[in-house]
Amino acid sequence: MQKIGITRRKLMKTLLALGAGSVFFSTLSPFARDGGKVWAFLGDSTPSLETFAALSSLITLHDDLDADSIARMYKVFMDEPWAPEHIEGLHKKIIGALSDEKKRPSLKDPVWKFTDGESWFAGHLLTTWYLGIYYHEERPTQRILYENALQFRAIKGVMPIPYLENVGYGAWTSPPEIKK
Amino acid sequence: MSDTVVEADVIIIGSGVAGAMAAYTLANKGVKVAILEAGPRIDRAAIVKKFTQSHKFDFSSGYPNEDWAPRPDWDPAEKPYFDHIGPAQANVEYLRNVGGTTWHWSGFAIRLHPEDMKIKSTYGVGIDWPFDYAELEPYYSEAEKEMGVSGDDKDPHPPRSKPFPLPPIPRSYSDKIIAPKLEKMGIKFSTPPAARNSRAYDGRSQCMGFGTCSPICPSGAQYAAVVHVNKSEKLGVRVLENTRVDRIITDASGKISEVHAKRPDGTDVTARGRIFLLAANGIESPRLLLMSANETYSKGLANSSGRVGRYFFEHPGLVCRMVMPAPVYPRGPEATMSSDNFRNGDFRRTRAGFTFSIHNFAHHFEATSDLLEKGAEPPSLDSAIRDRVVRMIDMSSHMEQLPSEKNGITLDWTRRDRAGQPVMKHYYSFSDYENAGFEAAKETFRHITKALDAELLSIQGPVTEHHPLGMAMMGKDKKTSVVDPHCRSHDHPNLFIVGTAVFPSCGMSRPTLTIAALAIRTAEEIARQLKKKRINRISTD
Repeated sequence: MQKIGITRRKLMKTLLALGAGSVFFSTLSPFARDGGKVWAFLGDSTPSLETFAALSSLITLHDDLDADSIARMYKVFMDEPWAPEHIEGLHKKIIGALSDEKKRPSLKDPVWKFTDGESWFAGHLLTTWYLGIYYHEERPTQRILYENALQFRAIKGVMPIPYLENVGYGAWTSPPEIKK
Repeated sequence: MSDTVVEADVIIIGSGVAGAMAAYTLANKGVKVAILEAGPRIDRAAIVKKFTQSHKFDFSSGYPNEDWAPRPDWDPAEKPYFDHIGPAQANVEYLRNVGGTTWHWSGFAIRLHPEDMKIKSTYGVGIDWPFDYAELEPYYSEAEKEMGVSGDDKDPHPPRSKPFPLPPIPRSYSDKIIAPKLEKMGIKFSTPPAARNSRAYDGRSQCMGFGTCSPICPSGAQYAAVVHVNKSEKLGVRVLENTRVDRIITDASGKISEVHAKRPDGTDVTARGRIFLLAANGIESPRLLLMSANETYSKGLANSSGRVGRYFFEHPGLVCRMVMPAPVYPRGPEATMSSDNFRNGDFRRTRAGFTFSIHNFAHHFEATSDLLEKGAEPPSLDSAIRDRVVRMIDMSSHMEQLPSEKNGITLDWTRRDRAGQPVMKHYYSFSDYENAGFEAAKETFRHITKALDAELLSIQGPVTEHHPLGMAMMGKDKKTSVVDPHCRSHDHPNLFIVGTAVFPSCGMSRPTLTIAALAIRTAEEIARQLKKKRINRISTD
């Protein structure tokens, strides 16, 4: 599995670039100030919205998740009985490991020492962010995200988002112009 | 006229393409028409929004499924409407709203071939239509003009008296990659005629390339029957939405005297006319006839032959999903290339023929799900999704099925749907004829996959195409058919039926264009009979 260079230093640099500090994170949602740019919320012990946002970024490796989408995901996930514990546990373990300046290994890597529940939850969160649909065997399936589901980032430029985007008459006769 | 009593020359039950096209044709001839539609009016933008909010990947979750006008849900387990009791399951799904199911059709407007209508005479199987292709041809041309059909006059087609109203929709990039490879195998392709605007037409825009033809065209460039509902209203046709007909009433002479309907608030509506045109869809029309049984007609109305609700058939098919060796960037309208190679031939004596089309839509959701399930994760996940999507191709076969006496619906009066009407028991099965067709289609897809050097992901099916056919069949003999060649009931002189229920066969052509053509033809006959005041006796011509 390819690894990515997300380190604690990079996280902190990103936060500084956003003009964010610990005071800011303890008092004000970063989403309101930054139009959606989120990263890690370090140092809190409760699974706040900011912690959830940070964890989402660490799991998906997307550091610009949409603020409204984060809020919607958070609301649904926090309804799960074990979610607070898993969010907290995963967040701490990932942040802790990154503090060793290691690149983020695969979520399946034993280095994380995730519990079974945390491993499941990490996959659950990743799947929901990408599909935009919440699946849980004990809860109703529901769509949480549409155009902000991460699958559409992956195919941006090669396929229109169904219902919302169009390519224009006849554009389908040629391959899309892909911006590098 | 009050809301509880409706009177018109012609009362039409159902506002889908059959009812709308008939209403428009009649209104243009000065006939006073009222349409009773079980479901509500809907708004295109609102439906688009609902689809973006739905977690389902179907054609119907964005559309209303009201308690007073329930319909089959895509997932039959969710809101039982049918009780599937046969060895096979036909996922027959349709809409109940103003404009009917053409809100979410695929837009393909394909004529029957002459041999489809004479399948018994030509191949010794199935049931012939009571008239031939030449009789229907002028109405096909009329329907194509009304719907705005794009097609290529240079492609091989059944005989045509007029060119297509609109030039063909251009083929997709993926078609251009795939066609030359398969043409080396001897497979020929054509551009499927579609009621999709290749240029602005009839007040509707040119296709904009949303790629969501089914379940909804966000721009309205694809024809939907609501076009002719609206046109009919401008000509004075009265359209009563949310008015569900529960019962058709006969008088002592066997004529239909009135129909009884209910509105969502429980109020009753009675509609009276000289002629009644049942256009409620291939399932709901026979169901209403059966529900309207009375002391005189204990088996249901129009059912002296015993064939109402029987001889059901569909268009079953297979879906082949593959990953091409290089990007093909599937985009554009639903499909812009199809093949009739396996449509006609002496093989139809023993097995079903099929056509197939190549879709311009990559199933991004399935691609993403599959990759996640296999353990893909960031950071390579995005590029993996993208790589899969740009190389993904779906082909689907569209196969004929023969009408079978044992396939069809019966009413279970001990169980009621949300509107209080009897649940339908639906028996569905395949014969050796169709099973041999499936095997032939599978073999063809395997050859194609190999020729394209593609990775075969799956061949799924059989899946039905939501074309409920045959349950109030047309024919000359009243012992073996429900309506005569003019779609008039053999039993009730002022009752006509249009829609897929009257089809004796349907080849491999999607039925919508034929529904429209037949509705125009039937409406002209009704207008003629109204003019001659001949409606009180059974037609003999």
